[in-house]
Amino acid sequence: MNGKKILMVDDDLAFCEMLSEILREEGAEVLVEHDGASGIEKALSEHPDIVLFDVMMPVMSGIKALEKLRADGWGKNVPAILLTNVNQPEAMAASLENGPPTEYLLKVDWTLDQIAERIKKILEV
Amino acid sequence: MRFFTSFLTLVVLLLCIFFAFLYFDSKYLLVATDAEYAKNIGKQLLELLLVVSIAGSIFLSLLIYSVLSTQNAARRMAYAISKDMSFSKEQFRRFYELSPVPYLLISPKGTITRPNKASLRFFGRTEEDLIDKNIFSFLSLPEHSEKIMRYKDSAERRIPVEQKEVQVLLDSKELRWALLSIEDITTPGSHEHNCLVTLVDIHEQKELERIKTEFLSLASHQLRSPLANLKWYIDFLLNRRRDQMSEEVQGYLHKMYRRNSDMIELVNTLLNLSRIEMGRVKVEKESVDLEALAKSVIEELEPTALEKKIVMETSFVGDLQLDTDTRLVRIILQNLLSNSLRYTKENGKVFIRLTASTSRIRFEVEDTGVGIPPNEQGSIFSKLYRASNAKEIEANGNGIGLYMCKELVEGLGGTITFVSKLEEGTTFTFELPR
Repeated sequence: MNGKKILMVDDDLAFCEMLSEILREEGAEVLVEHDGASGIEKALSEHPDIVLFDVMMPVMSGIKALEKLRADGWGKNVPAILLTNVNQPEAMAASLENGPPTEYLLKVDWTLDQIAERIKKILEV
Repeated sequence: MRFFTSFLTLVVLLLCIFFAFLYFDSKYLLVATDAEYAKNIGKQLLELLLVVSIAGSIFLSLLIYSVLSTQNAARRMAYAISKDMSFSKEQFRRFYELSPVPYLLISPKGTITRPNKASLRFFGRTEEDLIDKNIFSFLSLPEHSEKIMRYKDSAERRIPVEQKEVQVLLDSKELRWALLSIEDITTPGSHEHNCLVTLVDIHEQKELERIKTEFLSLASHQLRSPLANLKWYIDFLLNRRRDQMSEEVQGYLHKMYRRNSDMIELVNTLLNLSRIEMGRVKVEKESVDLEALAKSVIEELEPTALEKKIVMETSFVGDLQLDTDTRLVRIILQNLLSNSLRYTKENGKVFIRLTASTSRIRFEVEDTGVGIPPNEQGSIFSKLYRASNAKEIEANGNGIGLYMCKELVEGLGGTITFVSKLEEGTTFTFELPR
């Protein structure tokens, strides 16, 4: 993942810290935001190679942020991962509707290393 | 009738008198010449006639009397019965009207003819609002409107509808849950066909159920965040800070990780359960390679089996491609297999067999575990039930798994059974139709 830019948007500070450490170890540049609004701003200004959105966030939810992202010319094609602990069929539908490459992961089922692996796989494509 | 019989009696009496008169004054009948002889014959004839008419009139009077008294008795009885019947009819009418249970009389096609007071209260409508309207226009079922059609059809065909859950549209536009029963009460011989509709208000119970399930769902979701965090913290420490920890500390962390995984599994099960209860688990069928599915579940549980040195053997027979819901079958297999592993001691064996036939596919999960006590086998599929010996083996199991398996198997149109012998093992078998 050398040289890749990853944007992480999640209000869970510990999660962000731990995952960033793992990703940075792999050589990626990691940008972190803690709410949807700042997240979308950062995405549109920095153009990362992949975006991670937590669904449940203050100010703006991850789904809303994803919508905004996909409405943008560049944002339409950037890979995105939606993370949550809630089985939300609406969220899943949203992730599929908004076209690949969007993935929906249930946080509680994944370890951080597994998430990092997934990111790596997506970036390799 | 009475006049006729009285008249007849009178006529006969008059005849008697006439003949008697003739007898005692026979000169009116005599013709001359052989006066004495004729007088004798005449007198004898009159004697005969007199006797016959007296006898006849006595007989006739008796007859008339008995007929009249029978008629009277019959009339009195009929009067008594009809008084009784009116009394019962009146009683039943009051009973019908005063019953706290909503009753409605309808024609077999559903036209309301007679709603009782309780039903008016239930609907929040007046009699005019309901009479002549079709009762089925007030009933609905979310996502199952075809059931209402079926009840309508049953009513028309005079087939009883027994305690079915429906929603009733009240005047306030509110939809209230009720138990619907329809029974044909047409009296034989009557050309007016009636059905009795009973509605029992179960709204409170349904609401309570819904609130409970929603709460369970909410709580479970809330629990996931901290559980996920714990998972990551522990995993992080074990993978990235190992050099800072002693073997002992690592050992404890491993244990913590496992217990945490158990909690995550429990929460997932609770969530699946609450989704089933809320009717939110929709069976989504697709063509599934069951052999591959079984193998993947086995692979997932391989580490657990290895820990207890349990050998998992498999057997796959026949065409195991089936149109079914992957996630649900996976959950069922995961549950049965993890149960087997949990309740089988070290060095035991677990067999997983899939057998296909033309009409269905059979799944067997057999173990050499502790078995289920015979007196507890009846309750094994109940919610929150854990057999007494299960608790000895492992204090922590949740008792929800098998209940959920049964719900899921049945939701997929299949059946699930088991055989078990204490200390020898248990085999769970479920079959899914093609």
